[in-house]
Order: sequence, then structure tokens, then C-alpha cells
Amino acid sequence: MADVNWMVATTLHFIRHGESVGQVHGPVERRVRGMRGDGGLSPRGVWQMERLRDRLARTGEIAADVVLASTLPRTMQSAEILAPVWGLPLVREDDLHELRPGIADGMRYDEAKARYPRADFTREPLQPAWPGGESWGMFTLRVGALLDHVTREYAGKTVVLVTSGGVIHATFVAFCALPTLRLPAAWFATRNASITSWQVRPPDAVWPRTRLLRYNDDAHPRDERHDVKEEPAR
Amino acid sequence: MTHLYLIRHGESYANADWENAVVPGLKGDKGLTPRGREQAERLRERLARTGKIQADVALASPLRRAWQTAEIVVPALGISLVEEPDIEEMRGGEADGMTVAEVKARYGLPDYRKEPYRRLSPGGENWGEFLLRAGSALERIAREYAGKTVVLFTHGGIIDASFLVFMGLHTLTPPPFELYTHNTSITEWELHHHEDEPPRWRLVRYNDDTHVRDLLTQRGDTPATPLPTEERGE
Repeated sequence: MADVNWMVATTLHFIRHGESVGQVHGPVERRVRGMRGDGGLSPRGVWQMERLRDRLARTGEIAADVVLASTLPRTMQSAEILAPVWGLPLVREDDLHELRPGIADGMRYDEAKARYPRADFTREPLQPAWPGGESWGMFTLRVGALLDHVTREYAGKTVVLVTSGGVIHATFVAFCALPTLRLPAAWFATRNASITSWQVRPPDAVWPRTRLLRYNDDAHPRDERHDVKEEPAR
Repeated sequence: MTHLYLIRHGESYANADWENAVVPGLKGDKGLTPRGREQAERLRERLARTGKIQADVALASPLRRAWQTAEIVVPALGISLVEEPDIEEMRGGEADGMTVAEVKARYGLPDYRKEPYRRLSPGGENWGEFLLRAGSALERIAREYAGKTVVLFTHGGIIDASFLVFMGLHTLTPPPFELYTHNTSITEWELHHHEDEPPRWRLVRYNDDTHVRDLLTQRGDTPATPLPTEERGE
């Protein structure tokens, strides 16, 4: 059975951070959350990650060999809450960073909009979001290269990656071979503290190389009244 | 906004014992195993308990395994069931009802990587024909039930088709990734309309099998493959 070949696959579990300060909608609180503007997790975000931690500890469903975390405060903080599940050291991976916003980092959205022209990725996917930031094309290239690196470095292992919504969207671009220099025709709505799982086989394995196991698994109890979907970078 | 919930049928006899199964078309489909019925009952109980899916219409593939699943689940939705032949699995043609060994002896097993335009047997669909039929049906259903919530009781192949069609991928040859859709799992899409832009599908979740985690097919390594292939036939 060719299916056996999936046993040599690398398994990647992507976990989106809990709700962050400034993720909530509203003209005043909503900020561009790069390294400077990221205020870490909101109390609800902490709660979401604790629920996920408890679920993973109870079920043992992810037997991680390594845990990578994006260096943004909201993802590091999320990873630190989850870490006791596996008792592994957190590996900081800067390339798991959300799309880099450039000069607008830390500004309120309305303020940033007034001061700088914001690239509309629907029409101009190859222009930086704001000056000094990444375009959609740069972002998908960076994430694609990182995924290739991770699947080689940890070949055959189970890897947890604590990251941001945009990176999870970019996994579809890389693993489904979507066009990389334009926005995908379909979009995603990745929830806080949800799990998205992929398997990737070595380059010399039989086709197909990747398979999606689940998207947006947030079966652990969550406070649904307050569930906030992050708007994608547009 | 239009919501589509795609539900894969419960475990069928062809899923449970592929080596001894016959091609499960309209003639050969032997329906659900006892485990498949239990999976469908679990889904019915889940939907009745949570009331999360407020469906306006329920469509089911005429294949026995999908229709039986729908009959078990649909009381939880409180609406009647409508047959929709175009969400049937990929059609095998005159091989319908034959054992895999018979198919192999009479026609040989296809390898869609090498021969993407090959049909399993005369009267069947090739990959491109299947995707065209499935994609046209999904588009028609979304138009016919615009703004409504539609539940489709269907097959792994149709769920594959929703990804390929909504994400705008090439459909004449098989994709570089595969899905791993569990029996009775839920896949959810939303169609958003934006000003001056084409409508865009958004994936809300894939393979939500919360209700049957402990009740999956023993040979859990088997993806939802519509028809015998070189890879699956050995």
C-alpha cells in the first residue's frame, strides 16, 4: 500500500495564537500589530490558550518532537502557555512572523491609513503593505521557504508551530500550489487557538506530497459569544 | 452570505473492506456498515444538541451510502431531503458493481498521474469531467440557494472538488495535495460578496470530526479515494 508512505511524512500542526490586545474591532483599539504594536494576549486570549492546553494535555493527540513559535509577543505568549503539554523548550522562529507591516507597526489603522498609502493586495499584491513592509508575494515566498526548511530539518517528526493567521493562510498557498504572486481565489477564516494540520512527504516520495488533515479545529471549549475572526491583510 | 456544509457519508462497506469491495456506484454501493450508521447517529445527535446548523435545504447524493447517511442525520435539521445527482462521487462507468480484481483484469487500473484523461471504464468520468460536473453543480447550488444555508450529504471526491474549484486550481490533472476527509466529518464554506470584486469563498473548517474521533475506521490511514487506482488497488 502506497499509503504506508505517509508514515514517513513530517506532520505539522499550526496553532493560531489566542485573541490579542488590539485584535478586537473598533477604530481606536485596533492597531497594526507588528513587533512594536503587538500588545500580547487579551485576557480572553489567555483563556483560549489555556483551554487548548488542557485539551491537548488530556487527549495527548499531538505527540510533538519540537515546538516552534513566531517571535511576536502574542505568539510567544501563546506558546508559553502550551509548552507544559510537551515539556519541550520553545524554538524561536522569526520567519513564522505574520506579514511584516513596515512603518505602520504600532499605529492605529485609521491613523496609518491617513498617513501612508496602504497597498490593496487584491489589486497590487506585489506592493508592500506599508513602506518598509512585505508585499503578499514577499510574504508567501518567505513562508514557503520556511516550510521547506522545517520539513527538511525535522524530517519524519511531529512539529508544532505557534503562529499567526496569515502564515496559516500561506500554508495553503505553499502546500496546495496556489499562485503565489496574487491573493488566493478563496480565503480563510482561521480562529484563535485553532489547530490546522498538514503532512508533508519527502521530495522523492510518491505523489501527492502534502495532505491536509484538518483546518480550524477549535473543538476545545471556547467563549463563542466573543469569538473574533481576524480580518486578513487586504 | 451563502453557507455550504459538505458532509461526507458514514463508513461504507467499500470503505471498510476495500480489497473485497465492488466499485461503489449506483449499482455497486452496498451502503453503510453498522459503524457508518453509528457515525451518522452521532452527527445527528451533535447537530440536534448544538443547533449550530440552521439549514434551509438539505441535498443528498443518490448513492446509497450518502443517502442513508442523510436519512439518519436530516431529522436533526427539521427539513426534508432533496436528491441531487450531480453531487454523486466520480462515476466509474460500466465497472460499477465489479470487484477491484475484475476491474483490474478487464480494464487495468488507472494511474491518473500518468493518464489524467483516462476513465475507469467505458461510460465513466475522467478526472477533468468529474471536476467540471462537480464544480458546475456547486456553482449552480450556490446560485440557486443564494443567501441560504445548504447542507450537502456527499462524498470525499466532491469535497476535494470544492477545494480545487473554490481555490481556483487547475482541474484537468490531479492536484499536488490530497485531502483526508473522515466519514461524517463537516467541511464548511461561506460565499462572501464584496463590492467591485468577484464573490469569494471562505473556508470556515475542514474535517470537523469531533463527534466520531473514537469511531473512525480501523484502517484510519485510508483517504477518501473515489475509485480504484493503481495506488489503491494493490
